[in-house]
Amino acid sequence: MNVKEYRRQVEARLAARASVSAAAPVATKPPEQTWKEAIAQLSDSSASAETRIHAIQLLQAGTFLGRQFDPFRADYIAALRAAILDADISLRHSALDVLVDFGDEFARQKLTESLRGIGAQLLPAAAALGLLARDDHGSASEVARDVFTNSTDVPTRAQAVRVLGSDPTASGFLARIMNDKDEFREVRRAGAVALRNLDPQLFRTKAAEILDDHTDFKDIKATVGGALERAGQALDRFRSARPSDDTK
Amino acid sequence: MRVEITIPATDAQDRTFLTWAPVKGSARLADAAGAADPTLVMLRNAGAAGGGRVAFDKQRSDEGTPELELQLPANGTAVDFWVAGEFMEPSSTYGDTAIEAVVAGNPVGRRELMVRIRKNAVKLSGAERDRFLLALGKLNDAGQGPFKGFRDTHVAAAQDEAHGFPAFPPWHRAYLLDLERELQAIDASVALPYWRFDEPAPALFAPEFLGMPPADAAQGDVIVFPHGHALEFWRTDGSDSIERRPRYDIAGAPPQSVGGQPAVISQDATLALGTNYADFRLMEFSPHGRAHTSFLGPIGKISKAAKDPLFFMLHANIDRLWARWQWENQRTDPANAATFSLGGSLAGPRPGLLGHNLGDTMWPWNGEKTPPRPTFDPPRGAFPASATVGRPGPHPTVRDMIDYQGVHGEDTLGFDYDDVPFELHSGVTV
Repeated sequence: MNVKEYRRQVEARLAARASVSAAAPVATKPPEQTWKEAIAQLSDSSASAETRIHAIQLLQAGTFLGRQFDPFRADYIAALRAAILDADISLRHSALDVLVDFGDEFARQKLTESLRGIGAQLLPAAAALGLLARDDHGSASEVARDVFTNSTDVPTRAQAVRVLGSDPTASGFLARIMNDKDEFREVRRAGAVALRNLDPQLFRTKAAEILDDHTDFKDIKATVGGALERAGQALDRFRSARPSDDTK
Repeated sequence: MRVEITIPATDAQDRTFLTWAPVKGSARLADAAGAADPTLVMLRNAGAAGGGRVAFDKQRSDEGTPELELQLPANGTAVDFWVAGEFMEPSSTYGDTAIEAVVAGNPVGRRELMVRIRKNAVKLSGAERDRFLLALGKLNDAGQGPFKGFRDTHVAAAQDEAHGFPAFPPWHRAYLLDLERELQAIDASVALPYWRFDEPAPALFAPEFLGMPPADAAQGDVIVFPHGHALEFWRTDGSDSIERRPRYDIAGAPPQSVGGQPAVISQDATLALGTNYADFRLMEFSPHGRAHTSFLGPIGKISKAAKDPLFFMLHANIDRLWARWQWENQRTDPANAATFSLGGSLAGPRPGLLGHNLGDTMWPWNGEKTPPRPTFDPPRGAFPASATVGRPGPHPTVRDMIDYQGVHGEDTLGFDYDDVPFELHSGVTV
C-alpha cells in the first residue's frame, strides 16, 4: 500500500479524533487522589461488591507504576486483607487473587484454614487450591493430599494434584495418578503435567507405558505424546495407537 | 544467463527476512553467457498468491514499486537497489514471497524470502498461530528452557528498571525483541503477535490459542488446554499451567471506563494523550495497567505478569501503540525532546534516573548488579544478535530502542507492525 496515501487516510481519521478524544474517558484528578479514594471505597464494607472490586482493579493498575504507588501500598494491602473476609465471594476472590501473588502469608493461612475446615470457607476448594498452587510453597502439599483423599470433585482433585507438582516427594504419587485408568482424565492430565515437570525421567517411562497400552484413552495419549514429541522423542507407537471411546 | 540477487538481511541458512524498512540489495550477472552489455533486467514480485510482497526502488525511499528495471554490466559488476516489504502485504510463511529477475520475459534469477511482520493475534492464520505457540512452548520447555530468564527478569526487584520511569517503553521494546529473537532461533518464521486490547479478540482466548479457565469460577482459574496443546506443559516458578480469568466478556473488549475512571482506553484516545513523550507516557497507567488488571491471575501483578504468555502479546500492543505514535508524530529522532524526555519523572527514588537516560545501557543485558540495579545475577545475558540485522548490539541503550526502523539511516531492529508503515520524515535524506 502506498504509504503517503495511508497517511492521508490516517490524517482524515485524526481530524475526527478531536471529537473521539473529547468523548473518551479522561482522568480528571491526579492518580494519587484517585487511589486514596479507591482505598476508602475498598475499605467501606457498606459499598457494593462491584464498587469495591472496581477499586481493586484501579489500585492494582496503580501498582504497575511502581514507586509512584508506594505511599499507598500498605493501606491497599490492609484493605485487601479485610476484604477477604467479606460476605461477597467475588470480592473475596479478587482480594485473595492479589494477596496470594503478593506472597501474603495472612492470605495463605486463611486459605489453608478454609481448606482444612477450621476457618471461614473463603472459596470453593478447587479455587482455593489453585491460589495456593501459585508458588512452590511446601506447606500446601499436606492440605492438598488431604483434599485429594477426601474429594471426588474433578476440578478439586485436579487442583490438588497440581499443588503436589511442587512437592519433590510426590513423584510416585503423581505417576500412579497419571497411569490410573480409573481416575478422571482431567486429573490424570494434571498428574502428567506435574510429573513431567517434577521428574522428567519417570515421566518418560510412564508415558511410554501409556503409549504402549492400546486400551488407554486417545486424549491422555495426546497429552503425553505431545510432551514427548516436543522433547524430541519418536512417536511412532502413538500414531499407531487405536482410537478409543471417551466415556469417562 | 543467470542473475544473482543478494540482500543483506539474510541468515546463515540463506534465508532472507524483510520488514517495511528498505534494505540495500544488489543484483549482478553471475553468468553472462548470451547477455548484452549492459543487460536490462527487471526485478519483480514472484511469490505465492496471497503471500507477501516487496517494493523496489533505486534509492532509499518509502515509495517503492512492485517492479524495477536495472542495467547490469556483463562483467558481473553488482548494481545496487533497495527493497522492502510492501506495506500491508506481509508474509504468512517463509518463501511465500519471492523476487524474480527477468530478462526479456524469461526468469533468470530468483530469491525466496519472508516479509516478517508482527501481526494482530486474531488475524494470524492457524499455521502462524501454531508455529508461534510451538516456539513458545519449546522456549518454556516445561519450566526448564530459556523462558525462565525472561520470567525472572520481570520481577519486583527489577521494577525500577522498567516501570514508573521514562524508559518504560524502550525497556519493554528491548524485552520483547529479546524474546522474539529467542523464538526466531527456534523457528525463524515466527514474529511476536500483539493483542489489540481495545478490540474484541475472542479468537485469542479460544482453546487452541491462549485458552480460558472453566466458566465456573468455583473450579479455579487454571486454563485447561486441549490435550496436546503446545502450552499444555507450561511451567513457571515451580508451578504448572497458566491462571487467568477475564473480568470482562471476551466477546467484546475490556471496558474503556470502569467505575467512572478511564480503563482500557481506545487506540485513538491513547494516541491523543499528547504529541510530546512526557504526555504520551501517561499510557503506562491507562491503558497499560488497566489492560493488565482486566484479568484475575498473575497477569495482573507487575512481579508475576510475565508468567503468562499473554503478557508478551499485551506488551506487543503497548509497543505497537508507541510505534504508531512515533510514526504519526514523526518521533524517531532521539535528539528531539518531544521524542523522548525525562519530563514528569519522580524525583528521588532513582538516583540520576539510571537506566532511563538516552545513553544509559539497560539491565539485564548490561550485566550490571551494583545498586541501584538489581543485585542478583542478571537472568539474561548480552542481548542476542540477530541473524539478519546488526542492531542493537550486546548492551542496548535506551536510545537504541527509539528509531527501531532506522528512519535516520541506521540499521533496523528487525521488526515492524502490520499497521505501522516505514516513512521517511521530511528533511531526512539519509
